[in-house]
Amino acid sequence: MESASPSSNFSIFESKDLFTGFVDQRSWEPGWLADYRMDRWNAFSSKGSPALKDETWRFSPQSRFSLSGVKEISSDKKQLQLSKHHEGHFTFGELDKVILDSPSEISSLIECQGPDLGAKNIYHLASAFFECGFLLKTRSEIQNSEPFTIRHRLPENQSISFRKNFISLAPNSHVRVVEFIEGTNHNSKNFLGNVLHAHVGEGASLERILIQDAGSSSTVFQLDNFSVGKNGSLRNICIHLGSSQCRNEIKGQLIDEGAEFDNFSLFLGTGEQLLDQRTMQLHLAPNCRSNLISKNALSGESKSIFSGMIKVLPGAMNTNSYQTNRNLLLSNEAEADSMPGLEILANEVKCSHGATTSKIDDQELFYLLSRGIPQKSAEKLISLGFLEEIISEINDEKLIESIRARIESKFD
Amino acid sequence: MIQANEFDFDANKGNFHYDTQYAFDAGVGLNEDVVRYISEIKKEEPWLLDFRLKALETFRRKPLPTHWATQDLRNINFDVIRYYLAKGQQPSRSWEDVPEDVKETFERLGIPEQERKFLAGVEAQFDSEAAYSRMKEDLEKEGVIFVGSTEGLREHPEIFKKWFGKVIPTSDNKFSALNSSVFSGGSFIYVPPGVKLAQPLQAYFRINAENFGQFERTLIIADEGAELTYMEGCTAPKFETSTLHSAVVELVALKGAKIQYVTVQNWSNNVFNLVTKRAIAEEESEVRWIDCNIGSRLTMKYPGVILRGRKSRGEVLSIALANNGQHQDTGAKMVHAAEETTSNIIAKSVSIGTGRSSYRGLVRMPKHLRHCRNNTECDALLINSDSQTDTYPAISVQGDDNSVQHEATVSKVSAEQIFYMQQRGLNEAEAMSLCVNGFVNDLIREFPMEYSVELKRLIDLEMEGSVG
Amino acid sequence: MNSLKIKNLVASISGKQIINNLSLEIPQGQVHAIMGPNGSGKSTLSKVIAGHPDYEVSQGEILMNEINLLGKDADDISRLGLFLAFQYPIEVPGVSIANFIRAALQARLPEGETIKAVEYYKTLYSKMDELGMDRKFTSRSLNDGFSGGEKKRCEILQMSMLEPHYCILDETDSGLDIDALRIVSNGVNKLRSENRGILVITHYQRLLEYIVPDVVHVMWDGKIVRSGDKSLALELEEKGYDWIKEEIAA
Repeated sequence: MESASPSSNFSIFESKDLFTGFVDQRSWEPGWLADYRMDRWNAFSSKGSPALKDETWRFSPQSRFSLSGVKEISSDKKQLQLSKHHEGHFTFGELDKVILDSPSEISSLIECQGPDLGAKNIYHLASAFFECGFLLKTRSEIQNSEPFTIRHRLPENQSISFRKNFISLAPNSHVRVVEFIEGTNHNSKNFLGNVLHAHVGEGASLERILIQDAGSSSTVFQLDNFSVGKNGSLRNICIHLGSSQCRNEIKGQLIDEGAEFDNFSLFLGTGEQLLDQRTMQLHLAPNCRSNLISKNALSGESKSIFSGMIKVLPGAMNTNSYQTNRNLLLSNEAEADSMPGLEILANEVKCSHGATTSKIDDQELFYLLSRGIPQKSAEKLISLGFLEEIISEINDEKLIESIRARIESKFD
Repeated sequence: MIQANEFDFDANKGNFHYDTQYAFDAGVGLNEDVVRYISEIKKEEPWLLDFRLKALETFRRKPLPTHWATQDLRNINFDVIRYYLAKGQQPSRSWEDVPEDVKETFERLGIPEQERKFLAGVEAQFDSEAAYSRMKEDLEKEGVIFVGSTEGLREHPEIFKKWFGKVIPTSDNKFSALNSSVFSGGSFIYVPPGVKLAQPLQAYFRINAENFGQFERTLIIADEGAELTYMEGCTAPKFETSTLHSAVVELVALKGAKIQYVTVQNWSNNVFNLVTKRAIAEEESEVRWIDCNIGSRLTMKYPGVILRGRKSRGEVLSIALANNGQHQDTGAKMVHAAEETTSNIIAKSVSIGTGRSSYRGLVRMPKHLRHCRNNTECDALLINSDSQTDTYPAISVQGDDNSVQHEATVSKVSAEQIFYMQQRGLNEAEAMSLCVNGFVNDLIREFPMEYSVELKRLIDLEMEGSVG
Repeated sequence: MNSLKIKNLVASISGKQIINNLSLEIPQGQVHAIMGPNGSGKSTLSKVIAGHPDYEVSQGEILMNEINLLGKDADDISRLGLFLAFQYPIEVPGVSIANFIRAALQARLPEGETIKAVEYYKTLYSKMDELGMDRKFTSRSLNDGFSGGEKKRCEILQMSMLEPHYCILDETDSGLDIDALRIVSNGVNKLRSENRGILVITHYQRLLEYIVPDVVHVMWDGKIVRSGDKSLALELEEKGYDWIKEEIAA
């Protein structure tokens, strides 16, 4: 079988003992969870590697996502930190604690599927080996003004950390979640396999902000699967600044009438950074709306891949769905690959997508230069302006300030 | 660019003789013997037989591209197809010498009349071989060559061998390999430097036999500063069983040349139409593919231009109509390989009933190129509630002085538009037809006038029964 | 006597009743005006007469020269001789005005006959001249990117080309400046004839200074509440719609 996939031949995941050893340490877990892990491990082992020409990996230099550099699965729980909150009509806690204290909270969620946009192997591995993660579950209408904050740290050099995270919002609860993926050690070739399942109940709303600022030698897999119920609303905002390579899969499923899904993302690429982003706006019900904007500013030899699909299933009438991908090339070596897609199986729809790739507009640049701004600062200003459309979607001034600061520091 | 004018056609009588039965039949199924048989009939040189046999190996080795294309490809049964059928004739230079049944076919399709009216040359292919081939004499004197593939490779190897199989290598895809092993017919055209053809050359491809596979091979070379328009039309009767049409078309536009390649296909819906079309554009040359796809069960066709010379320009304008049970999987490929190259893609599709139209595109700008531009627009119109459309573009850009712009929309004809037109006295079907014509109108204008009238008629026919 | 006659009409859309037992008769040769505030059902009435499929008629009759229009398709009604000038003409991209009007005329011919192009264009151009329309207009897409005034002129052009027996002008004055209003009104006045009935629907009296009606009706809550001569329009303008409201209440 052709390979060069995330699970390469020489990885530790070839060993059958790996899983047996892992479950032995977690014998305290309920039986259904052990069965689930086993099931996922079997799925991983039997799947083999995806063929070289797998469409879901098109344009992706798959060797960069290889797990062959992984020597160990990390079990360090300190890598995950959650914000503290007063008690309320919700559960917010680390997964291990939830499994121990109230396993029923999680048993109904465990079977949630992954986004299934290509990185299946990672999904199976994360489902088999996850040791930490968080659960946020609201039980009734809550209006949370303070965001729930989660900090994901990356593990040791040559280690991978697998995490499963769950958000489940009861009807009419309104919640903001901020996730940071952070790593300070830039020499550390570490890995993160992070899976999020989120369900937005009827009339509920979720704003989820992800700030991915992993160390510059890290490999990040972030797999997000959202479902939005009747009249529910989801805003997902992803800020990609860090890691050497990041594969981000996002699926937003509009499963009942009146659901809305907005997805905004930005990537500022420097050096040899790679963002491989695959998205799906899946319309399963009538009268739903979705909008996605993905912006990438690329300097050095950085590269972005955007593959976005709008899929409208039969019966999903009166769908409004849009998708935009804009790439700004700041150097000659940078590369932007764009695959905006549509699959429309209903006819009462308004759907469109647009993709552009270009350099900084000469006239814009000249205007700034003519005001005495040096070339480098002018480029920086224009790039910031380009990304500002995404940043301004965040409804949190303090957070915006910190993101702007992170972005500006990347230019220095 | 090139205007189609009327001119008098002085029919030259030839003196060839034909049987009415197929004298040559390679039988059913594909194996080495079939390939040898075809090569032998054509009295080909050893290198060509070798080329064919190697292609057969490649065809066998390559999998069907079902990892991205439709699973319907699996329904092609290569073992029941007939790969070569011919009467064993040389193509006639006069319609009067064309066998009666064949002539009648082309007369019903209006070919002789079109030739008289506005064509510089015609080639009419009936199953595997051309039945008629003629070009205006003055063009011959200017050194224009317009012959079939067999004659082209045999009589003018110094011109055609250099480019044959170079624009589209045998191994490009499974069907280009299939074509390379069993090709027959098609047009080989050479236009010498500076010669500008004022009128189009036309080829007509007719599938007549059941379970037949038509594998024509076309190679057009426009030498420096030359200009031509080539038009092809395709039809087949409807059979119960499926028929395969798998052509390879290679275009070479040398420095400053202009090639416009116009296709109007109206296949019956039992035809698998799997065609590979690509052009090489040298410095300051221009290649335009103008493509209208109507009919067939499945069409897979993505005309491409490799923009190899500085300031070259590539364009694909395409219209696709997918009716009940049909899948039009079409698109374009633009590979920018030189500086200051520009490309433009406009694709419009209409899905009617259970029809499905897909757009697949590839735009590639590698690094170290400057001033490359691409513009792509894909618009899809859905007529009925079970109509389907997909868009799968792939755009890969490097370099800080290149720009790409891609836009796609999906829409349907609104009930208010229909009511407005009904209020003026048009019935629902007429209103729908007019809307569809309006949707593709700006592209239809790019077709030569004679074709655009025919196109509008074909669209009206396709729209019949789509409402109510 | 030939007329467009509406008797005890009740019509609704999505279960909401808009026309409440309305009766009205426009004899051939006359110009009638319907005035009424927003939401009184004026535009609905015009669409119901023209056979819009979204409206449900539960009671009453619409007779054009004694032919019942109810239940007929919109295109049949059009070919029988009813023309509706839309308040918001619909955009149809890619379909030129010339081709559209030609298709509409063609639809009126018996099978086998075709429009003679030369005569058609001669007529079209002379009518366009009357409406002060540039010839280039004919190749533009129907209503696509037109200004408000251009759209309304295009409606009147179609009206004069199709030569209907009855015309309904739905808020034709909306969005027009004074010059455009004059041109459009002149166009309509040229179409006034013994053989034609015209119904002008408007919110304002202004249009009726240019197209002087024989009869003015006031519509309120889905029915005609007052009818009179052209002085009714002036009175209405002066006293406002609240006056009518009070009159009815009284």
